[in-house]
Amino acid sequence: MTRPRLLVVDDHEMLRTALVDLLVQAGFEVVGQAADGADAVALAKQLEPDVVLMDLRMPVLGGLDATRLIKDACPATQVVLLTAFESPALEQQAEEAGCFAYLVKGGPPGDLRLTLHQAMAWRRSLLPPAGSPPVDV
Amino acid sequence: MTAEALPRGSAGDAGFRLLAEHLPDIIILAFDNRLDIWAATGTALRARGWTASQFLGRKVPAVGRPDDAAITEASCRAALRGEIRRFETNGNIEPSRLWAMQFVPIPGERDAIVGGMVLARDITDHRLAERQLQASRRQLAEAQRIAQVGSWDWDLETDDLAVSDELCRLFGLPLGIKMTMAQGVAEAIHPADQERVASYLGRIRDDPSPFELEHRIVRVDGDVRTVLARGEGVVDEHGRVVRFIGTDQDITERRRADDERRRLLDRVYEAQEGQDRRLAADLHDGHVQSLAAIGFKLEQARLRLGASGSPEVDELLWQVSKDLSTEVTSLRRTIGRLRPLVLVEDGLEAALREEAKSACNRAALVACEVTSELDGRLDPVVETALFRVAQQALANVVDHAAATRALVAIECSSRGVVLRVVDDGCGFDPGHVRVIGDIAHFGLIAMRERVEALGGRFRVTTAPGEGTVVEARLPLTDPAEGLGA
Repeated sequence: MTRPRLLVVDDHEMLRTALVDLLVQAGFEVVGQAADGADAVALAKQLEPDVVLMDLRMPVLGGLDATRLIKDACPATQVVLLTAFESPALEQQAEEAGCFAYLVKGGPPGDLRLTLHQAMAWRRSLLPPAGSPPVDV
Repeated sequence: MTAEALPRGSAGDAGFRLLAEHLPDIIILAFDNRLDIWAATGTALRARGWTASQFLGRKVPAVGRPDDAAITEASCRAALRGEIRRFETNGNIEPSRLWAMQFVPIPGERDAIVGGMVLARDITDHRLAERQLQASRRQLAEAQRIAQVGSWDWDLETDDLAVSDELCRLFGLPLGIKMTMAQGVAEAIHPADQERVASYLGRIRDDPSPFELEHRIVRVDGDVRTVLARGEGVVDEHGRVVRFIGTDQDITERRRADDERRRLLDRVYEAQEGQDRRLAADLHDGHVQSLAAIGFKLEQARLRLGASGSPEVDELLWQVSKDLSTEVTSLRRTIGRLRPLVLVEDGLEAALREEAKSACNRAALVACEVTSELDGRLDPVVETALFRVAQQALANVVDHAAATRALVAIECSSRGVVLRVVDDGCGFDPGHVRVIGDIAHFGLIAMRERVEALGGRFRVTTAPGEGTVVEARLPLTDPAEGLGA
């Protein structure tokens, strides 16, 4: 079984570290970390993760612009926006940028992992049939 | 001998009769070479009930004021020499009346002078009207000087522009200058405003409706002033606009005062909103992130314990995570109230829609509709003020109104923007609210102060059981000239 490969992007180091620790504990493979949108785009092109967990407000390049660039370069890669801003208008913009989901930080426990699994399943559905059977996550 | 006794058919007779019958307020005395009056008539004579016999046979100098006898005699003799003499004097019988005396010769055959005529006109009312007119003109000029208002009259056919003295002073032009409107625009209007003013004047040529136009001028001494032009067209009998008359008022100081007021308002706005914004940023960038990180760590701890941990500890950790999530959500809402991101980024209408949605989630509201006539962004200060009023009004709906439906409406006109928050809730007695001091509780004072500080009007219409309408009217400003940018 292939573990979901994640790229975690957030400029808040304490939160990013806690997030990475949680995701690793939950069985995800964190293939890379970035503290701004530009680094995230470069790493996504290089690593082609299954899912990018993306912050919204970051230096150099924001999460929405980074998402657009990643979706252009790696259409199958799913981007889950994780932000402290709760706003229907932003949610709409995230959807238009190509995000798979819009989550708010500090949301109900378990929501994040559930959403990542859904994104992973969606990502696999977009890929051509592989030799091995789909991974049960 | 009376006027009627004049030889018929003579030139003197015809002129005499014409003058006597048609000139108002006139007395005509005809005299011979000895200055004896041989005819007396005229409308003024009849109007006063005087008779010709009161004058006939008397010397001309004897019928006037004794003080005027010498000048009267000299004038009569000048007339007999073929000259015309004039002077003004008060009446002899009615000293309050003012008379214009004119002495003219009466020509006979072969240009010989056969006598003279005194044409005495009562000009009391005329002179009074003249003085009143002069006084009115002086008052008008003084009023124009004090108000810094000049007047003008533009003839569309000739393009001639007649201007008052005060307008000349306002523009720094020589008094009594003659010019055309085209010259006035080219020479006095600020270069940056010339095209706009010329274009405007071109557009209104066929429309006599009153207009207002603000523009800058450059005085001859180089000083730049701001002027408010007001005018309207004058139409002829065919309904065609032939002239425009109007005024130019120097509003430079008022405009400077407005700018200063706006600058101060901006500082107040920045002080109010900036503090909230900084607090929101601190909470968002620090506390929310840290609490979210703690939440992730708690969840990681739960996962680590896994099946080996006690169900009680797992339940406890899950409950702590859940409580933490609730607190973070609450904190995020606080941040949203302090600094509504959507207002900054997407404008008033989007922010109102989110606020309405939030109100529905927090209250028993079935619907909270938002309607807007906005086309584009407003001045940030205006947007913030209206949003804060709507936010407070909706908070009142949620907390106090027990309403089922609410409406947030934005209406726009060239003069301003109106925000209305309407609900069908329980309403309240405005008088009672003031008595018990709950007005501050409802945030009504803060809403009113916020609106009135921007030159707007604030009104609450409500009664027990009748719902509530909160209305804020604000004058519109150009976002390009906004202060909060």
